[in-house]
Amino acid sequence: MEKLSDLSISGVGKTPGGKFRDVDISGLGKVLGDVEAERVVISGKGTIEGNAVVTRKMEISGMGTITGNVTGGEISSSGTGAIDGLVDVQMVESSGNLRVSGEAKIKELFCSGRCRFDKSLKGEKVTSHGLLSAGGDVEVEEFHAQGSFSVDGLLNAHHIDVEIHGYCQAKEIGGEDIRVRSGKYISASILAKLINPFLGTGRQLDKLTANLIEGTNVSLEYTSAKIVRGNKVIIGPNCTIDLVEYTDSLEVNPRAQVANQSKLD
Amino acid sequence: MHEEDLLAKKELLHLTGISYGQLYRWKRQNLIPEAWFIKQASFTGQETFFPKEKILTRVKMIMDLKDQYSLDELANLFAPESTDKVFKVDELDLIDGMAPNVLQSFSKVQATDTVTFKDAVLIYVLSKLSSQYVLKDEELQDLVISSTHWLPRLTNLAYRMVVCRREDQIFGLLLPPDAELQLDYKTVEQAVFDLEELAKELNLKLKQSLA
Repeated sequence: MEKLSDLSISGVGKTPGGKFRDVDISGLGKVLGDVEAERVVISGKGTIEGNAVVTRKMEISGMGTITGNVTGGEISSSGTGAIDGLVDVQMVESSGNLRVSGEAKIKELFCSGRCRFDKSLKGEKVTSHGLLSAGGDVEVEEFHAQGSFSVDGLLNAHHIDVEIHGYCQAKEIGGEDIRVRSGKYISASILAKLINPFLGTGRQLDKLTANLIEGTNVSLEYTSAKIVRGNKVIIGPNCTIDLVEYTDSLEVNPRAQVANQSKLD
Repeated sequence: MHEEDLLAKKELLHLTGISYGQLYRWKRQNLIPEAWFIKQASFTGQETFFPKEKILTRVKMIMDLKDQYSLDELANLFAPESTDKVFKVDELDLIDGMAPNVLQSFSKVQATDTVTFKDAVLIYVLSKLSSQYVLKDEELQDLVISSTHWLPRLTNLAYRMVVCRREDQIFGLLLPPDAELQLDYKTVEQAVFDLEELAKELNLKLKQSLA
């Protein structure tokens, strides 16, 4: 096995890229070129101008910028992370602010801060307690969100479980089981009325909004949608739906508004 | 542009008995290509439609095979591989749907008894053609020669092959899948083959027979 050295920048420094065991940037450091390492730790303001292959873990606690792609094991960010290229890793844990400009393939994502994906996100499991946004589609098996999210494309997952805190929005939602609940503390409607105009079109405070929701089992609360389709559909309180189409069963809460409904054979 | 019959998502679920969950899962697993989800405006807003024949065949294939293979394996089976794998002509001869005369003609023109996956797809297309229409030996050989001219220039299989007849002349055209095609009035379109689709079909057959 080849013996690899460590790279450490602790003052202000620039250095070329290469293959290392550990990379540690704790001052103001810039790596010019691709980096391959077991671990990359950025606790100051660090920039990698190139791609990073991290076999074990990349930790960002300051401000980290990677101008290329990040591939490999894990990314853990409690600071501000910006990845200009694509991401293909096993796990991402972010309690800070993370932004990925390219396509993201993340097996497991935990977001408790703010995660912003400019393109699509694919993986197996997403757990979010913060604000998650995607400019494209989100395709995972499990999607659990307690907080806010915004998906400009299709949110497609086997299980979708949402507890609304803030605003939740997707163009389309599809899957096997889709369950939307309101957060425990619903803010006063006056507050919502005051805040809504500032959230942007299609977003409403303490509501989930979507054009289309389709699933085998769909159970909604506090949701505004144009069309909801499913085999078994439950429309709970404070929903506003233009059209519900169902095959097996439909329940509508008295506090919900459903303009049109039809049973498909 | 060749017109295709479209099937609304609702009708697809109704006809096949699959659920929304299954359809979305298959989409995630790439068992149904992205390009088949066609969005069109309708009176309820936007609806998703599918190319009717393709989607019905695909759903049936998935249903038939899903007990035998895991979804991941299935995705693998449907993925058209631009494999670097090389096949022996005798090996391909055993595959259902491969016409022996096309294979022979191809290996004679290429002067080799091994073919790549891409070659095999074109052999498969011409085999289909010769099983559907009666072709003269020279006609078949001309098409084989054309194929060998096309092959080095193809980086992928996103093409459709259109076979036309003008009086007693037969000829083939290779076009991007959505490209429009206008023919003069004496020429009739005889057959159209989607290379990518047939590549998947062949890939599936190859994997099953070589397994």
